[in-house]
Amino acid sequence: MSEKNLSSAAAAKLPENEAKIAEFKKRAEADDARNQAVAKLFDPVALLQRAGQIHEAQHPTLGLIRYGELVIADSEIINKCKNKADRNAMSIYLMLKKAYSNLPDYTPETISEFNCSFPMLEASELIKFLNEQPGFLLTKSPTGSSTTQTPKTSV
Amino acid sequence: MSSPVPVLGRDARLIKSSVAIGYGKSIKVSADAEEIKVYSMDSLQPAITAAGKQSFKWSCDRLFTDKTYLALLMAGTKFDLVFAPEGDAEGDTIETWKNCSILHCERSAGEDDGVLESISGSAETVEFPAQS
Repeated sequence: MSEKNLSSAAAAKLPENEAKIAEFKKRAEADDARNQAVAKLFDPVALLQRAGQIHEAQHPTLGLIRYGELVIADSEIINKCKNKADRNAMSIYLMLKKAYSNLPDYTPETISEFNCSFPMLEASELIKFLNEQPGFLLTKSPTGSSTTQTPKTSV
Repeated sequence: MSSPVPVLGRDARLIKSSVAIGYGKSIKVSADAEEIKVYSMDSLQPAITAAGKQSFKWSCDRLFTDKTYLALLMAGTKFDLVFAPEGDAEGDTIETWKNCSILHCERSAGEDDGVLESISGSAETVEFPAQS
């Protein structure tokens, strides 16, 4: 039987085709290996270790910034703040406090003092910088669906 | 129309005129048929029910091929999909989905030439292995 008349199933077993398939398979395996290498694995142990670390980053205007990541317990403190400005200030304060222990102590009741005393120029740069960090809680999603209004009930 | 029944996902070989032109990862195939119902004038129940026009669909996660064949496949070149539903490439249980065409595919920006992702299409007919 000529190769032209072979069924596809039989043609797949021809040595030249098997060699070609082996070549494709090799590429598929290399692709799998590459995908596995970049795949993120959830590792709570590594997360706990990272959360306890003090991170350092060089800022073009502010210089070397040291900060700690916010943890679940911090969200409770942040939630105790009365308004959005206080919550924002408390998030920044808590992140900085972990790295600069000699910062004065502020509570949800007194965080407005931190707000009033921190220089605005540096504060705006700091907010912008910390907002981009993964441990910052108050980052808003740039996209999202608008709130669905509940239908009015007739009386 | 009846709902498609997916078959086991496997890796498939693409054959065009007895030449291997590619390799598909995690292939899934499904066959469905239109439902035919014929009613008599005096009954609400169908007098005849039968399976009508058939369609054969396939999809695979990734398809590896050559640059040359990639253009041909995208241009609508038909090929045969050869795979073993039971996972035994050496045995007699090899299925051939004949005259397949690509109806949908995706490509990631970072992929090298010759790789397609999330490919799906249809086949004209299916050749099942002969029962021994």
